[in-house]
Amino acid sequence: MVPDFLTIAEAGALIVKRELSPVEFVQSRLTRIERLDCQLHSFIRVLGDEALAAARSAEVESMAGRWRGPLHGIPIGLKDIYETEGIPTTGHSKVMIDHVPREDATSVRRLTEAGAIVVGKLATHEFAFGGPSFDLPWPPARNPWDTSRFTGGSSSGTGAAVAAGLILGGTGSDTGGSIRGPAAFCGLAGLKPSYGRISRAGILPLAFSLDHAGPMTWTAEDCAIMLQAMAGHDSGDPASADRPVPDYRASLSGEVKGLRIGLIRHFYETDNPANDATRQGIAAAVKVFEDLGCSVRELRLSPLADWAACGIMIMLAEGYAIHEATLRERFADYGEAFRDRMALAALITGADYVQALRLRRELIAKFAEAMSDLDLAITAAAVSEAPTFDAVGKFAIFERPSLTIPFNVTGSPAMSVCCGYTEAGLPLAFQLAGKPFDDATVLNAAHAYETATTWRSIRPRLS
Amino acid sequence: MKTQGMTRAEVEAALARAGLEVPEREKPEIAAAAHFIEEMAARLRRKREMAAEPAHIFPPPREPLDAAIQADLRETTRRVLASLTARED
Repeated sequence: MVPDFLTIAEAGALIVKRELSPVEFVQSRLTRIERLDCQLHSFIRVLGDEALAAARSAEVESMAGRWRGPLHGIPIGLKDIYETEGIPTTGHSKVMIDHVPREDATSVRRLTEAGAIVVGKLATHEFAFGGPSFDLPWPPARNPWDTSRFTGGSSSGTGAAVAAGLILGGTGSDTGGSIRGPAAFCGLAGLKPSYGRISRAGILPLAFSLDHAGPMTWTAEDCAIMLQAMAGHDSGDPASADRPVPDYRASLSGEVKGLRIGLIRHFYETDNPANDATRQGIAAAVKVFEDLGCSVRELRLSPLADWAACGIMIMLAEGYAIHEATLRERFADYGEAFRDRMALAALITGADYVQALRLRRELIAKFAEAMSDLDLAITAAAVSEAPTFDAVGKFAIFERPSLTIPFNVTGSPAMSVCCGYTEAGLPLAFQLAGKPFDDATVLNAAHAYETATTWRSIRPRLS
Repeated sequence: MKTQGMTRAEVEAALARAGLEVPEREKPEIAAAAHFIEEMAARLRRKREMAAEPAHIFPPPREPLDAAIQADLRETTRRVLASLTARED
């Protein structure tokens, strides 16, 4: 009997010891998807036959002693903006419903070469921007902790499917918080790596200079395993960084004594006030880090509204440029949330965009200076637990400044980490951010926190 | 933060100029949300030196020949450094 919930690290260890068959494991996930996804809508397309064929190959290789690493035989899912050879990649949109790519995205190829088994394509906000929407070809994903609630977006299907144990890990993309938001609301570990760390080639873009690809899993250790496979230079992405890729899993010592952490309290106390449960969760997390030997002090950055104005104006301008021709020709084929939000970009001038880029340079310089004597920053990942669907308005992204977008503007690594549950059993989260290309320190701190607390042992109850 | 306050007619004119065929039902909602853009645009502007540069986050693309030369140079340097004895190092 295959357990309902395993981490990638646990399943990988069982597979290598031949105590878990990749075929039985993948079959168990497909059965679970069949049983539960009618409530969750996390999958747009389940690739059962393809996944079982890949699992049989993994089993043969495993039995022959040809082990490719900790992802070999592990079922994962792909946000449906990651292109897949011969398999439709739609962006969850009518606009691209017939789009069948000729090749895999670079990161998809790297994951499958590492032995990961793709069991399906996952729901997303339309083109990673417009949602939650009920007027698209597929419904929005629902939160496994309470299906009347929002998963967060835009990597909504990945958040739901990993939390529900339908897959062990999945891919997300993050232009303003689209990995960290769903990770926070669904109780996952979600890493937005440094800009340039993972290739964007073959991923449908939202905003070139803010888009990050990254992993979403149950634990920080699993994020490290997926990042290891996905990271590395790619000449197909002009922003890909030609820098060595460290051994992220080996860097998970759990030793954080002496780390210097800046607490960005004003983000969630005054700039965009979080609820009491979230504040208490962050305060308790700070205490855990102090008990582990970290020093924590206040860190004051530019007001959150400055970061949000900079990031959103860049996002809208770049996104509009990508969709301009199709918006003119097929406005009504987009969902209402996408088209009406994106229509606002028609009001942005060229000067607005350049002013946003000038502000971006200033904000990055100030952040680098503020972090000069710190290793990490900690702040809220969301203002509350997951809201109900009816509480999320069409223009919600403009109403309150995003807590996650500052680290898209800087391009530095940032991660959502679960820090407990409300009385109703809904996940809460904080956010860790590091210096550019110091993803390893972020992962190690998250891993140390998860190891020191018991939150990772609690999973959603699904029937 | 003070903004100019676009009227509904001005927003609709901008949408029309952009060539977007917005359904009548959605026009008032978009017009009502236009203040978000104006507020953000105002927030971007501040006193700056004329030469204050925007962020350039993409490295200039390398010519294939330059890239090959640089890669070769890097590899040669690595090889030479790896071959040094402790004393030479």
